[in-house]
Amino acid sequence: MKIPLITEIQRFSLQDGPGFRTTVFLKGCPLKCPWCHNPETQRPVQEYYYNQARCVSCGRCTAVCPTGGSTLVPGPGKDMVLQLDRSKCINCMRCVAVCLTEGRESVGQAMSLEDILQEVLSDEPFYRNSGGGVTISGGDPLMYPLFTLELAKRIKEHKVHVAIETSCFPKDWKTIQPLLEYVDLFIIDLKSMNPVKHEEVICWPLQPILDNFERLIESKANVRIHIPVVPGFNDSPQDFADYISYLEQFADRIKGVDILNYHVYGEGKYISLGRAKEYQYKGVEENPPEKVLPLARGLKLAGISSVTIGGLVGITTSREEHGRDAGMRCVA
Amino acid sequence: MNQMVSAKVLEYRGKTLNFTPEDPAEAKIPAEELHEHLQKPSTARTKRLKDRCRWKHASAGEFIEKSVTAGIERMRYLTEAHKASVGQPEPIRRALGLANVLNKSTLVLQQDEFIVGYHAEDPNMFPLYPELSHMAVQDYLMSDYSPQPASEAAEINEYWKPHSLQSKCQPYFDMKDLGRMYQVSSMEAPSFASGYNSIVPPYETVLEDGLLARIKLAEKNIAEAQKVMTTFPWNGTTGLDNIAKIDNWKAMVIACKAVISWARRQARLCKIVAENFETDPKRQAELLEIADICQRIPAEPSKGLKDAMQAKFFTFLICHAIERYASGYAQKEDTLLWPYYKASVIDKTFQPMDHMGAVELVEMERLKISEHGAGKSRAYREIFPGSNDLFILTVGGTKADGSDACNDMTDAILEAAKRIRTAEPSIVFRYSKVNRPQTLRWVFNCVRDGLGYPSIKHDDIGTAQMKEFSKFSLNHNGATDEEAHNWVNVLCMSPGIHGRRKTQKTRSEGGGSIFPAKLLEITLNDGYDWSYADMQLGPKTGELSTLKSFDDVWEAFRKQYQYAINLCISTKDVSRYFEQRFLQMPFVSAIDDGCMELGMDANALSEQPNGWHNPITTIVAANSLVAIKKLVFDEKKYTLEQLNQALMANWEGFEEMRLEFKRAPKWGNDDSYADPIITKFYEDIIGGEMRKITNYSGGPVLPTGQAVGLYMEVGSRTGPTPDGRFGGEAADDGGISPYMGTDKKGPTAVLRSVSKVQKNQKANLLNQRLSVPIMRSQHGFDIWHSYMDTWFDLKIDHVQFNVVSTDELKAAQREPEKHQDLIVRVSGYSARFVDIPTYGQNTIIARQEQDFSASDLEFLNVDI
Repeated sequence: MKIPLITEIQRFSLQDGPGFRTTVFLKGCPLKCPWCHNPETQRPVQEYYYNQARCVSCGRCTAVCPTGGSTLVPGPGKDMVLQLDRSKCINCMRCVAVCLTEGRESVGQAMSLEDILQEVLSDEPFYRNSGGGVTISGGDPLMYPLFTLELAKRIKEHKVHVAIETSCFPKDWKTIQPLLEYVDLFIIDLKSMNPVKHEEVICWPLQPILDNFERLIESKANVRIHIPVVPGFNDSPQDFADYISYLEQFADRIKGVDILNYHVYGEGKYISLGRAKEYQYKGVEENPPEKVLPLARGLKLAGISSVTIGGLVGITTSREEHGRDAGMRCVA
Repeated sequence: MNQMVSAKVLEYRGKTLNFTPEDPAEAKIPAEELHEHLQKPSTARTKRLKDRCRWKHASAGEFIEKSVTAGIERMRYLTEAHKASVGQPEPIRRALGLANVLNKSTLVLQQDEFIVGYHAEDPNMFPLYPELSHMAVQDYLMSDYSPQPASEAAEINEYWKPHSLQSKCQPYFDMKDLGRMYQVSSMEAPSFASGYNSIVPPYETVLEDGLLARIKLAEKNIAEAQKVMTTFPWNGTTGLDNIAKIDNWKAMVIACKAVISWARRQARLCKIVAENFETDPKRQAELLEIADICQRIPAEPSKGLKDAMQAKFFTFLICHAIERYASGYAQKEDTLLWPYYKASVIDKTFQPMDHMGAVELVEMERLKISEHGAGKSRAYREIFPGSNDLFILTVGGTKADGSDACNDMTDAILEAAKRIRTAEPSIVFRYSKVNRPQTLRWVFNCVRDGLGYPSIKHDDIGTAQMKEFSKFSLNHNGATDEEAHNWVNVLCMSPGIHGRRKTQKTRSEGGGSIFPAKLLEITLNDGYDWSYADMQLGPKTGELSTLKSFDDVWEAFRKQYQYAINLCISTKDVSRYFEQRFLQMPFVSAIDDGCMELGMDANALSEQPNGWHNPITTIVAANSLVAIKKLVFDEKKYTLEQLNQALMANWEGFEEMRLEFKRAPKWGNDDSYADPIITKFYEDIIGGEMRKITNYSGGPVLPTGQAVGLYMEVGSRTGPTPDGRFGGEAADDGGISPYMGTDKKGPTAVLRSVSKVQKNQKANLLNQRLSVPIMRSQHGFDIWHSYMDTWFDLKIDHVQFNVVSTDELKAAQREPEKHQDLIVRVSGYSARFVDIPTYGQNTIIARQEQDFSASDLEFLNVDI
């Protein structure tokens, strides 16, 4: 079983499922969404952020860099300044270790299953009072199906709610099927209903995703849909109509839909990772929130009970879902 | 800048978050001006009262309002009486002193006020206490705030020197030890030098019985005692006890009569103004109503809410400011006032009014407290930046039978606090899972408005602590299991009983704190303080070369701690010894059922033990020990000598090393390396060693981890420390709170860390800063409520919140005049942010803002 690198274990998340949650972000994703806001979770290997504002060009990194990727060159003034050549980087992380100003930070940490488990179970008392639990996210957790299965199983032994956030990309249902027993909520990203666009832009076929989603529904799994609305990609009236007509068939069998409007904050991360060139959405403007209202209204009219823009599943709701002292201590 | 409250868009992992404020009107307010818009006084009158309030806040030891000075009347009349009463029994001299002050002092009556009474001759003044601390008075004489005429004040102060508490206590100590205490770096100066005190007056007897009934009781007791003394057969072994008792009862009678006639002087004044000067017929009628109240109250029992508020305020002034100085505002306000609220608001049998009438009264009371001044020494002004003194009232909790103690008066108190927005009095809410939701809503409303209060205490823990202390009662009359539910915060953190008897009358928590950060610093230097005083500050506990293992460091620290804590508590207790002989409190004694029954002075009688003591700066010491263990003894990357060399250089030239020590695991991250060490540090040394000491009250001494403003003052006197801190930087800002900015894993991890310290019962302050937009959104209450329930389950003693954005704090630093209403939590109290010196403001900004997710998060709002 391959244990993925972890980019972060985020305690007290409120946005990755019901209640107070701990979200585990795994590093690695097979899809190539050009608007991706979390480029640090795409590659399954360790990388580092370089924060230029913190760098004082002391040169300590140049002394340890085995490939000459970090060098000091004459700057505009008389001081030497640091120059980075990421193409030479072999991800040895020696520069991160010697940096005194925290100008470099590694992304992707190797952890044992036991350590991950210990960390995600730490907030168990909070899950109880808020109806929360653990969300396995990424990247895509189904890049590591055996690990995800094992982690979900171990969490479930402690009777803690487990959610996974995935695009449901696997071409083989057998990858997903075993998870049914241990996962309480599947949060599925539906990036487009157009098979051509899906394949061309994201470099992955749409059909397996829809097949998996429908089999999850048949298996009576709890499913929530995330729709990222991206300017110029899936924000036309036709795109919205396609989403609505498709999801209408499952209106009473899905838990809800969260509409996530594209925003421009991803760029900084690409720059810090030295991958600015990969970011294809530079300069693309965000849609105003009103733009997604027709989609939200349409889904609501299609009979989907819970539709949000932004995606919070509030704490009150979750308490009710969990059948716990709902209402007893909540002020109407 | 100029971002609207609602426009706070946060980005989190590919999603954006827009928080819609629960009140749509807030969407148009720039975030950095939010708190200027939250003030909503309930009436035009309270708005006027607030606008002209004469604040006594101090910043960096200086009063902020230029017109504030010390008054002379109290010290003049007290001294006059002291000279005239030579030869009389001491308690009677004290009562005559009080009576002389009350009979002769100038009365203050101000426009618009309904609750009347003041403790000095001018509302810009406050009294001084030469009989407590001649050093504090000396300090005033040399300042712009000197009482006038200054020559008379100087003469008075000179007169008191041989009689003062300090002169009486000092001969019993070695000047070498006291010299160390006066450094205020490892220990606070002894309480006999500051005269600091805190009490819980038994207001209940004043409101329920009235003072006339108390006088009758005392007179009856005197008569009975005299009868015993003349009854055959005389028994000298017990009969002589009656002498002291009779003196005390006589003193009580003098004190109560003086208070009644003082209140009636206020009544006459109101009547004279109404009949001769006031032209507004409405105000005229009101003055006559006040006159009627002051004529009856506090002589007779209170019958309605107006009576009760006035009786309470008179009692407060006498107990906390006129008979002697004592810090605090410690009453179970909602329980105390409930019968009178019921009479006036619900049954409307006396002084009828509606709920908002009660809210207005509370607002007026808050402004009276805001105007109240305490004649504290410069050092004490410095450690309470942005406030005038520590005023903390308690509400909520449970009744004797364990049921919810919240009532409509609780809601009125919280609503008034939210509306009038003053830093004082602060409020403690006793959180229990049986508290009614409507009151929790009000608690939350205050918290999310960024008032910093209510600070929240665990109801069950406080009750258990009362039961625990009760076991050690010297007269086997501590709190019963039912009475254990009747607790309030005496000061910022320590619980004590409220009610008709068994309340705390002499300091416990405050006055004489211990500072572990400095103790750790000198532990690494054989007890020598190289960085501040350049002197031997503690016992010699071993040169560095003798500290061969982590246990050696641990044990050396333990010895430094034992030495310091012993001095802290023994100086407090010696103060108590002399206070009961020369600083009796006949009025406080008169209103306590225990003192009344036993003929004892309040300083002497301690039925329910109170063993609280403040360790401040514990976390700097604890984080330092963790770093030493990891880098010196476990990983052996550095030797102690190398570490010391770097510390002596204030880390200059040792940047790499400092970074490693700074990166060592820190408290507040639910960390498996740091937390067991720090838990042990608390349980084995901070609480464990303290617990071995028994104080005057008979109870073991227990830590009530704290900060006041001392974390800044002591930080500036503490050299560089192995946690990676530079010399002079502030220490940790409160009890068991993580060091500012070092809690990286969010609020749940902080609670998990804190919950690990359980042994040796403690009270411990925990600061949390929460995100403004999340708290103000429609989900705010549910999130907070879930968080609080878990906090409760984890059995954590205390938590308090700052809900103010960094933007707004910085805006207030730029333009203080525009942010007069910005209130923040400093430590055990709240303060106006603009009144805090910049250094202190920066430590508040540095507290990690807990966004309920790392840096940003997204979620939302409209469920359509």
